[in-house]
Amino acid sequence: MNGPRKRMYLLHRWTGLLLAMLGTLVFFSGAVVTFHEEIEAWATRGDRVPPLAEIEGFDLDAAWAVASHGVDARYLHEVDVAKPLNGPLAFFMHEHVTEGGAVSEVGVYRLVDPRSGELLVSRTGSRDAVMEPLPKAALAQFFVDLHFFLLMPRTLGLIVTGVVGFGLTVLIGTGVFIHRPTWAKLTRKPRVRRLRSLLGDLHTHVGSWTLPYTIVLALTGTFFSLATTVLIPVVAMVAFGGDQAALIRTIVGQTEVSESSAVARLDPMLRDAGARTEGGHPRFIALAHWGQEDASAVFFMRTPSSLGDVDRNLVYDGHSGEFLQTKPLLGTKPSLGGFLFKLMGDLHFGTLAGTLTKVLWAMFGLATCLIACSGLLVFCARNEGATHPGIRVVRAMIVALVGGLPLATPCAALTWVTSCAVGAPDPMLSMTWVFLLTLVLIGMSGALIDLHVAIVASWAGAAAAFLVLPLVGPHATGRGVVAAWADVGTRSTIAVDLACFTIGLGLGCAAWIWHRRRAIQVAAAVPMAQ
Amino acid sequence: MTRSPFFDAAGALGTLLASLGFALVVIAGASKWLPPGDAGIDHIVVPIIAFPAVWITFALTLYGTERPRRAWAVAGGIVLLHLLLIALGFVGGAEG
Repeated sequence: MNGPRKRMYLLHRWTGLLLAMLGTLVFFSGAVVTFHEEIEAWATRGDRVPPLAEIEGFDLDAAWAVASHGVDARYLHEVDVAKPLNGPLAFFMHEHVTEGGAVSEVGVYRLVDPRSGELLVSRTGSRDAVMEPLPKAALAQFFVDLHFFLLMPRTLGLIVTGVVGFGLTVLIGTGVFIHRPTWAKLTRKPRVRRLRSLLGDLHTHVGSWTLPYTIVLALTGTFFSLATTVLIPVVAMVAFGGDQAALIRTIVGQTEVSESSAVARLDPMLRDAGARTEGGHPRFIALAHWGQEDASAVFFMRTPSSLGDVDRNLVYDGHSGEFLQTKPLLGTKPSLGGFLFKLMGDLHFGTLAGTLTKVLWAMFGLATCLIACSGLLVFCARNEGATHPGIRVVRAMIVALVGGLPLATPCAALTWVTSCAVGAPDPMLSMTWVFLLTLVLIGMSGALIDLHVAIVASWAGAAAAFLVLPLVGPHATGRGVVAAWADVGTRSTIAVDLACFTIGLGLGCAAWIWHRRRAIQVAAAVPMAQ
Repeated sequence: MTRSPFFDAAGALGTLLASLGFALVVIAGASKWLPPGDAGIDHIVVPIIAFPAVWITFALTLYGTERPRRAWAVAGGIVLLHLLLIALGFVGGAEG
């Protein structure tokens, strides 16, 4: 190996060793999060709040009156209204607070049931503090937080995931430099006789075939993590004298409105937006400068389609309620920046072509985890016999990833079921502890006992947990299994149940096959067994 | 077989950190020369979106090159040019 190639190889190896754990957690949770709406539907079975258009007699102005009742007037000029797929209407009435150039949002967060008009929750504080999910939404939110923040505080978590994303880009860049994937290499059959060769071939093959996906995900992930924490402050310092609020206002764009002191009604605008988007439903409504001179309302509408949902943003005059324009995501006119930003979102979240790309993205995400695991196994195989304590750490990482992650996931979900069933107010904390402890304990077993035994036992445990999950999941509704199963109803619920059964059976079979064939003894010829 | 795990960690970390600094200077400076476009946002949004690509390009070029002196000189020139644009912006802003 020549100079630069040797350097790149060492950079690849050490970056991989340092980032394998966090990178795999990010990709694995990303694959799960692709279906967060379905997981949320499964978690809230029987207690689903339907889309606003399906609620007879729903009036957005009446809901707004309930949400804004008794709220300090200074919070009523900037309002975010969200309608999650299965949850109640959420109002965040806030003001922007600027400290040292950085902007934060402080205000009142209220949840209103759009069917009854009942006020469900009222919290006051910063955006991060008030938006703690309700217990039933905590299951999907747990995996979202794991993917976005690695379960750390928001800003620190974003910086860490940004660095992990960049590290993955380094791994991909150096990997291409070392392995130089050619068509001949891509189409070569993996060598199955020796485990070490098989693992090496798996690492190169899967890495090469998923290259476009991993590079896109790593680059877009780095962007999304670092945009608000590092990049906007840096560019604001140069282009806006440090005023981040001014930069964000410029990027978002403000449509000109009429001069008046009147305040428009919300419900007619919502109905008009629904008609203009062929039955679209509002994902989000932003009321800007409400009740003030330049008041406007932006309705972020989503029209479901089998080839991917269509998102459109409709702007209304906050005084007359008149429709003004269909606004791009960024700015008030179509632009290269706006196009690239939308493309980044579509590519990262797998929303390019609906369910098809979501399934593909999830599969690629899991395949990427396989690259990390096979890379670590190759490292272990190459260093068989080495007495360095670092090798034990790598073994622990392998078992934590290959066996611990499949076990920690259903264990966290079962903890969520238990927390909801006993009425615990915050399942996130207990889920976090159970998830991390399972990973650590299974990882430690990899350093202490036989690699094969540790992985097979973890898979068997994970199989049992996945098989049990659909049976006990309805307990989380607090209405008993039979009542919850009676109105199981939605396709998402059935799909998640089936997925759990399939994964459980798959892991059970894998554990049984690996145990039967004593695959690790094949590896005894190779430097795998301890 | 045991292989030497020798790795110039300080050199690699230094290059990655330097390339981070270079990329931040370049995207900040690019907001001064990129055209804003019809919507008036391209000069801000495009550099921010391009940041990860700029960072990795600097990192891999500077670390993997066979001609480190030339690579560092070119990267340094690009960074200096953008620093100059940033400084001119601050001076112009102060005068304005």
